[in-house]
Amino acid sequence: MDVAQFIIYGLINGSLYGLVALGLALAFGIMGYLNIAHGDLIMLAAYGSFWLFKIWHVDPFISIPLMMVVMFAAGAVLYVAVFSHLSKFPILDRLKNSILVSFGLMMVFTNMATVLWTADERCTTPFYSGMVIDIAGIRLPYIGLATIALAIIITLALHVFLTKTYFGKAIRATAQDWEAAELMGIDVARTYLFSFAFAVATAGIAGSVISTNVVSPSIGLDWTNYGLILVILAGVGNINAILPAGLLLGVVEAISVYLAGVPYTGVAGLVMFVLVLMLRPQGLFKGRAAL
Amino acid sequence: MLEIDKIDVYHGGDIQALWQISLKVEDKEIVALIGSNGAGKSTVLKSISGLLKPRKGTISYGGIRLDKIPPQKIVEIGICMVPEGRRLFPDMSVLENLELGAYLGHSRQAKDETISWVYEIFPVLKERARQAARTLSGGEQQMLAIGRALMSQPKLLLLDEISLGLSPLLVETIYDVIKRISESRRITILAVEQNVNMILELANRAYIIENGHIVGQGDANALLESGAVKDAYLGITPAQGEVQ
Repeated sequence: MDVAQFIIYGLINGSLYGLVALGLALAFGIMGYLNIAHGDLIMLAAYGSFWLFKIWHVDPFISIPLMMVVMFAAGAVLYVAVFSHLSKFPILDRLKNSILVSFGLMMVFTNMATVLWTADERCTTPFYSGMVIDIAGIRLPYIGLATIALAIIITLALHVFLTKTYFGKAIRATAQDWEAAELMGIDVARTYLFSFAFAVATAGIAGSVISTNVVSPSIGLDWTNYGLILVILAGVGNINAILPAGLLLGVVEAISVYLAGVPYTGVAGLVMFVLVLMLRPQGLFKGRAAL
Repeated sequence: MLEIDKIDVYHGGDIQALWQISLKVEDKEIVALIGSNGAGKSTVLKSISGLLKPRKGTISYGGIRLDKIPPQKIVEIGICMVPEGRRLFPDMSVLENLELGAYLGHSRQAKDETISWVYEIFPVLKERARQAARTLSGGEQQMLAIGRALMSQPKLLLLDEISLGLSPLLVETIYDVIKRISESRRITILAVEQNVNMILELANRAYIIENGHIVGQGDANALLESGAVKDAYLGITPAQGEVQ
C-alpha cells in the first residue's frame, strides 16, 4: 500500500486522538486536575452512543450533541460530588489528589460497564461505515473524513469561545491566577464547575466517534494514555496545540506501521512521549498556552 | 464608610495573623496602613476583599457585612483590590486584563467608557493594548494592575504595596495618579505601604500595625513626625505586655 494512504489513516487517527485529549487538557490546564478516568468517561459515552444506535437507530454522529448534554450533566455531578473538594488545595496537591481520585473512578467505571454490558466488543454500524471516497487510488473513509472535520470544528469553536467571549476569558483568567480572578469578581467555583463539566462533555464527542470503531469496558485506559501523551506533546495548558499534536502522533504512528509493521503501532507514540519528556518537557509546540 | 471591628484572622486554619484589629475608613478619605514586613498589613486587605474570612469580629461597608459574603459580591458592592505583586493574567493581553476588571454587571456595560478613561490616565497601556501582560516592564505592569482595578468602577480602592520593586521616580508618578483619581472620582483609598514617607505625605490618616496588632493611629502628618512610625518602620516591636 502507498505511504500516502498510511498518512491519511494517520491523520484520521490523529484527529480522534485530538478529540480524546481535549477534555483531559482542559481539566488539566484550567484546574490542574489530571482526570485519569477521562478515557473511561469516553468509554461510557461510547456505550451511550452504541445503545442509542442499537435501540433507536440514532446515527452515531447525530448522537454527539445528545451525548455531550448527558456527559455535561455527568461531569457536573462528578465535579460537585468528588472533584470540587480538591479545589481549595494548592495546585500540586490538586494534581496528586485528582490522580488518586480519578484512578478510583476509573476502576469503578470499568467494572460497572463489565457488569452491565459484559466484556464483549461492540460497535455502531451506520449504513456508511466502511464506505470510502477513492481519489487516485487513495481511500478516504466517510467516517474518517467526518472525524477530521469534527476535530477541526471543535478545536476552532473552543478557541473562539475562550478568546472572544467574556466567560471564556474568565476561564482563562481563572486558569492563570484563580485568586486574582476572584478579585475581579469572577465566580471561581462556578467557572470550575462549568469547565470540568465541559471537559467531560467532550468525552461525549470522542465516545460517539469511537463507537463506530470498537467499544468494550477495557478501552478507557488506552484512550487516557493517548490523551496523556498528547497533553505532554502539546505542552500543558496549550489547548490550541492539542489537535496538531494529535495529527503529528497519528502520522508518526502510521509511518512506523508502514516501516515496521502493525505490532509497533503503540511503540512510536511512547518513544515520542519519552523523548519529549527528556528533551523538551515544556511541549513540542512553541508559543504560550492558550489558557 | 468601611468599618472593621475587632477581627481575628487566621492563615491556613490555625496560624493567627491578626488580633482584634479595628479600623475605620470614612468615604473619600485616603488611609494608610503601615508596618514592617509580615506585620499583617496584606492580611487586613485580604480580609476586606473576602479572600480571607475573619474568625471573630465584623467587617462592614455602608452597612453591609462583608465578612458574610463571597469575594465577587464584594467587588459588586464597589470594593476592588490591587493585590501585592500585581497578579496580572500574564498570558492575556493588556486589553483583556482591563476587560476582566470590568467583569461584573454595571461595570461591564460601561466598559468602553472606562477603558478610554484608564488609557487617559496611563497612555502607555493604550500603546501596549495588544501585548501580553507579562511582556510589560514592572512599572507598566503596576499601571495595568491599577487600571484593571479601576475598571470595576470602585468606590473603595485597596492598594497593596504598589510601590514594591519600582524606581522612586515611578513610585512618585503612580502615587500622583492615585491622588488625582481619588480627588476627581472621589474614590476612597486604603493603602498598605512599606514606603512610609511616600504614603504619609499622601494620606489623611494612618494606622500602624505590628505583629498582627494595631499599635498606633492618627493624623498622617503627625505620625510622620512621631517616633511611633520610626519604630514600626524599623520593625522594633513593643514588649508583649505593652501591646494593645
